Amino acid sequence: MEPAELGQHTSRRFNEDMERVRTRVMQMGGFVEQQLQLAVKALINGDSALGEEVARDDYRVNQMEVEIDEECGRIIATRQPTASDLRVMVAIIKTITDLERIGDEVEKVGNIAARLATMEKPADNYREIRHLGKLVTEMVHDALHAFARLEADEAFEVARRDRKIDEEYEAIQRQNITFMMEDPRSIRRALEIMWVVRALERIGDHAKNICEYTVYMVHGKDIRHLSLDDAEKQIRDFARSRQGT
Amino acid sequence: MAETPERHTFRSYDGALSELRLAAHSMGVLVADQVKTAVRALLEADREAAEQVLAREQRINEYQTQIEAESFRLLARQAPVASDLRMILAVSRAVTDLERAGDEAKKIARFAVASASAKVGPSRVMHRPLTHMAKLASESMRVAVDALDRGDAALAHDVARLDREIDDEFEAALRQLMTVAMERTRLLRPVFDTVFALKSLERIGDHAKNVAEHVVFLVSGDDVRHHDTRADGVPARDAQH
Repeated sequence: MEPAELGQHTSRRFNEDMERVRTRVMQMGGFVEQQLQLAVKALINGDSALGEEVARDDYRVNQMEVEIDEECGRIIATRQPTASDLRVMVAIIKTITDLERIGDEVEKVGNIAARLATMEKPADNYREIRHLGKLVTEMVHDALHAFARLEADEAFEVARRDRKIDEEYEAIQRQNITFMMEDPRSIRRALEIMWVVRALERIGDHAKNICEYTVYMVHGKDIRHLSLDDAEKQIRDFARSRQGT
Repeated sequence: MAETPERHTFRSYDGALSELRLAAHSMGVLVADQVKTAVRALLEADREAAEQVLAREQRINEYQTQIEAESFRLLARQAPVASDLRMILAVSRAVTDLERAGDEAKKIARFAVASASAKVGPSRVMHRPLTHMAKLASESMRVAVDALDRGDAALAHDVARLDREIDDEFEAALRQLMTVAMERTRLLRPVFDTVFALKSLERIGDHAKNVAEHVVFLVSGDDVRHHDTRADGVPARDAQH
């Protein structure tokens, strides 16, 4: 019923809308990444003012999520995107949900950093947390990079790193328990550290989710409940069967 | 204008919407049961029940995949009117929270399996707070999905109240557990795992509250997700409007 010309017009406007939204997602991602770096820094340097500032600034992440979310709802309602365009919108809506949750985890780290600043530092001077923080920050950065460039292969590679982060997480928690047994006076601090490590591990999970949305956006396949190996195999098989026809 | 096919499409679209709601409700009921069963398995060292929770997790994931696919199919098929659009968005957001709550139940079930075989479970003093929190968390999940099903914003406010109760209980249990930890360092591993189980229940309460917020959005079109809470605990939106 719609004249072809109008259809094209709608699709061009849709592309403009989508570009604008994607830019905002990347701005939100950049800000979340920066927050994460600052929170870890606040913890390691025992900088309570910085920790509090990071926690306070989380409202900006929330604001960005609501704005982008509303914008996406508006675009879907007014532009009637095609199936593949809709997939991109879905991936964006999901991605900002995970970015917002990363923001929440970062806020926790900021608050704990502020509290820990008043306590004595552990003997290893947070060496393990520094390392884990670096892995997680890189993972978030690279997940967003793959998302921005629609790089499904890169997304797979980044998603796989989550396992490494889980291993580090387990190792630190075990070590943390040992410290507490050796020195029960350190229990209060060790428990705070436990939450930090947990938050970092969760951030890795969220980064992995973002990678999965990128794969979904590119290949149209929902891989969330598959193992990464199975997912990659299915997508390769699918691509091959497409080439065959 | 061909009236019959038009009306036919319209009716089946409505039908599809109510099926979507129904599916989200069934998923929520299952999640609420997972929470209760997982904690019971943990406290009674019932390995079989814990494994049942782990097996049913697959069913929750399937619900999520199906409901989301259906939501997006409905969005793509025709530009929905504002209230239908809100309905579809609310359901698909709620499903994300339900799946995550299910994940938390799975974590508790894993702890239950581990502690049933190691014969070291949560300390006796933790049984009461765990039972109480599981009851509250499971109930708030039920109320939240009932609210979603009926589009009842008043019920949604009850969920916020339950969530505050869960948070208080969590804080109290954590303080009590610290005392246990300091006195009996030999048992730190189960203490740790208990902290995480309590935390999982607290998270489930948060997810139920999120579902309730999606209901408020559905009914009023007002996004209350990040409105702050006033010091007296009354949600800010009550104060603003």
